Amino acid sequence: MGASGSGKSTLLGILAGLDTASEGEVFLAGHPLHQLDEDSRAGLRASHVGFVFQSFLLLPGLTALENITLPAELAGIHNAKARGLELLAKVGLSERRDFYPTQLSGGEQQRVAIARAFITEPRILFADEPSANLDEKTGLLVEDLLFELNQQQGTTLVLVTHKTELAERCQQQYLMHHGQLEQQTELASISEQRHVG
Amino acid sequence: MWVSIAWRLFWRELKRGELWVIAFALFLAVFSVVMLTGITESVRSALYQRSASFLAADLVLRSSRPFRDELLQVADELEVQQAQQMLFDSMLFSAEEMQLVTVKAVSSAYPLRGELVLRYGSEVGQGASGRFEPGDIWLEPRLLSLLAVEPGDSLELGMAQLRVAGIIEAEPDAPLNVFGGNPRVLMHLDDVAATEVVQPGSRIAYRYLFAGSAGALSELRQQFDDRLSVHEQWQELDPETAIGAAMERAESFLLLAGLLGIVLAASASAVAANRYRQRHAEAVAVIKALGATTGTARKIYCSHLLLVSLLSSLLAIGAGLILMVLVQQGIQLWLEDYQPVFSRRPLWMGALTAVICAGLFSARPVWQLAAVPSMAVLRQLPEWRFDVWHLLTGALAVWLLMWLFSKELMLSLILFAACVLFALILMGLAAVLVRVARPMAAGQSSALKLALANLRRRLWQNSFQLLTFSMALFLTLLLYFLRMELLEQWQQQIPEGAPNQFLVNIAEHERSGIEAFAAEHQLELDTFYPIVRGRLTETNQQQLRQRASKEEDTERVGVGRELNLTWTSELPANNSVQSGRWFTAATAAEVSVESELAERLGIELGDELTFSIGGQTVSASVTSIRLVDWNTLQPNFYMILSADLLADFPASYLSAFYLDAERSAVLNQLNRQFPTVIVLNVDAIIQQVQDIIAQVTVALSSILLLVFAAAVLVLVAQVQATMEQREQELAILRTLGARYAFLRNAMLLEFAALGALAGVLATILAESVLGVLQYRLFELPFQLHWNLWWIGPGFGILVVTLLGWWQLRQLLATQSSVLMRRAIYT
Repeated sequence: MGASGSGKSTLLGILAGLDTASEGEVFLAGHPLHQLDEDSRAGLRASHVGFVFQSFLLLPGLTALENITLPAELAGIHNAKARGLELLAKVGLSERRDFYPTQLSGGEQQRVAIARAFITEPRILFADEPSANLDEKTGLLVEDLLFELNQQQGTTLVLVTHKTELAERCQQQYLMHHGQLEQQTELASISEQRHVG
Repeated sequence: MWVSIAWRLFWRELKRGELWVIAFALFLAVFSVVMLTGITESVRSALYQRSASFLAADLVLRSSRPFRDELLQVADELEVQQAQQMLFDSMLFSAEEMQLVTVKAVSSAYPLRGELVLRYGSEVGQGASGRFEPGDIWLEPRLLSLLAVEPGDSLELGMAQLRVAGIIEAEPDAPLNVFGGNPRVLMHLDDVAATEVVQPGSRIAYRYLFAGSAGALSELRQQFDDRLSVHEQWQELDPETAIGAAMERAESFLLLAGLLGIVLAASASAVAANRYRQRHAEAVAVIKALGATTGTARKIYCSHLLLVSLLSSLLAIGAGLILMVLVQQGIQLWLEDYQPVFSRRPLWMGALTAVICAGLFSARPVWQLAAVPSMAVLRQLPEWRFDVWHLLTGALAVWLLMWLFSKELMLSLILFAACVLFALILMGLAAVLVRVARPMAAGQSSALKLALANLRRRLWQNSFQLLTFSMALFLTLLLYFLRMELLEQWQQQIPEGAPNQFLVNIAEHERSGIEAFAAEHQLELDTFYPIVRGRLTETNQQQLRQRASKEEDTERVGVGRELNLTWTSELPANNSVQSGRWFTAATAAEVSVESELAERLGIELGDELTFSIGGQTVSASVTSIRLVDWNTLQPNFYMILSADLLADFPASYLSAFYLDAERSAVLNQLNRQFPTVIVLNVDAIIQQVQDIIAQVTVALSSILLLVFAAAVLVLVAQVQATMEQREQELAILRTLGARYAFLRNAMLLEFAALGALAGVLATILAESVLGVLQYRLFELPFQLHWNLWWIGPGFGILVVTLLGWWQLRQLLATQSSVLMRRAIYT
């Protein structure tokens, strides 16, 4: 958790190997990210990392099912389609498999994004404000789905949020403050602070 | 694996219209090149084939030496059709009269091109068509009365007796220069030997006529070039003739229009590619975040560009080919014996254009697209920045296209530099104008305020938009006015009802009779120009050895042929004084010389010229050099002397009138009544020139349309580029309660203002460039175009507003909830 501009996204980017740190060492699934070039980091992401973004970021040119199978195809996984259909069913969108993102509601788009995040069975999943763009009810449904799939797949979930209730569902919470990360033991102290983003 | 993703994305993007503007821009650029190259080649070959009928062959080699078997053999080996022709002046004797004539002796194959019409009869249009055989001689109609002979009579030419077979009605290679020639006769080449007029030292012009395929002819030229002596030279289509000039101007126009059209279409593809990059940056970031390497992302998106380039180029080349076939068929309707010419040049030019456009205009944005950092999924991408390299590669592409298309390094460099200069000027003006719009907004209605605020807010983007709009409008206006001007000039050259019958050799005492004849037959007679025949013998007391007549270069033979000298106190129409001054009331012993002749003979102001007229010598000092428009079929003179020098010499007169084709019988009557007056009918020449002009006009109009289409495409690409931003703004304004009518008015006003600004800038540029082009390229006098000043801005407002409205009307009609959703979720 953390205020706008505190450095949450930068940290998430560095952890996921999207960005590099100017100093220090980062290990992801045992691999030294700080020593890898961009393409090797991309390969690592393809096999070990999943993402859920605040603004869903589905490719408008692909259908729901194709969006889900995209990371699997990029990683060269063979039974991508079968696995995609399975995940589509799990997020309750089997009937929407051939819909394009613009034909889906915000909640539906985020469910597709969650299914996409799990298709490569990643060891670690990064979620950036996954329900911030959704109304409260839909947001809750999406959060439930995320935790449920996370549970089933045994994935490590790294979640950035400003919602205390969501943070409370995580096993460990950290507060980002001016680029410094502080471990929080008592959640109450977080809710006292007013976080906006 | 990337292949299947790329393929799927490609078709979806194509369906969603993402690639259409790039595709269409490339299509238009390639299509323009294929079509312009194809049409230019077809029209050029049609015009040359047509003009070949003026030469009576495709290719003519002129010589002052007898025919060489060696050359005839080469032509035979190359299987080129050939004919020979000899031209010389000689006296022709009938039982009672004699007359100096120009003899044209031709071989049986003559003419290889065009039509020779002979009649067994004594009047034009009467009697059976004749066939040309040895032993016969064919006369120009007026010779019948001059020599007092009838068909069937016999004539003496040198030592030979020839039978008058009939008259020459039409001769394909009759000289275009109609004044002061001897009457012409036609005979067979085989009879020349018998006349014994060919003696050592006789002045005879020999011509080799060739016809055949373009390939064989160029091979022939190549093989000949090494063997030709100084006495032999190729005859080119004379640019001094109306047809030659019309063709050259048309070619310059086609070339210029083509270049401009291509630049426009190519700019559209660059704008579209930039927009493509902006719209796809996020998708690339996502793909990369999900594990694709930069290389994979590059392969996916560059393959799209490759596919779209291939698809649109193939379509464009196909469409261009179809059009070329149609054009060729059209030409065949007009030119019966036209042989379609298909060259591969349009095809590879089209393909090369596709490579240049896709490679240098569109590839960079798409290549860079793959470099979008994956981090962009978490953090907003930096604002679009001006890409200097893209501009440079684009500029290089423009220049390469210009060079490729014009095949002229200098022309392409000049045109390119001019384009860059215009772009800089326009950019500066646009920035100033958009900035000035701020104070104007105060106190205006709210829709206008919003429109001006919109213009101001996107200052940089709008300056660029204004630049392209102005360029597009400017090029369209420029071509429209150039085309109009060319047509006007051509029309003026041969106005409706211009004299088509010239009367030469009118004696002083016949003047009143001719006037009475004209009045009786309601003919409008031109002024009588007095003519005294004289020879230029000396300049500044130095004997002249050069050939002193321009006509000789194109047609006439004989050294020191007499010139037609005239006198007048008024400067004739179509003449202007280049240097010196025109005659005054106090003028005495002065002469005005035509500029080209003056240049050729090295005559300068103040020089003393000596003429030999009827055995007497007359001297005059040069007081003016005149520019003469030789394109007009009007009497023109090389030398105009002051009246005091010539008035005492016996003169003949020249006049002209217009006669309807249906009343040609009047001519026969005139011939009978005034047998010594020569009537020259230039109708056929006028008709041929007009035919060519009509065809060229169609070509010019279709190219103007193409350039306009390219301009529209640039406008569309530009408006499309601002679509996302507009959509977001509209969503906000609609949510804040702005009504439909208000938003529509604001948008219309914004485009109208842009259109007006672009129109004004385009007008200023068009006017200045028109001035330069008129003077430099088309050699036309400078004129201010008053029409341009209202057509330009009006056209700008109309086109830009309509296009803006057409593209944004759907966006305006979209419900605000839908707009909001799109603004948030995508």
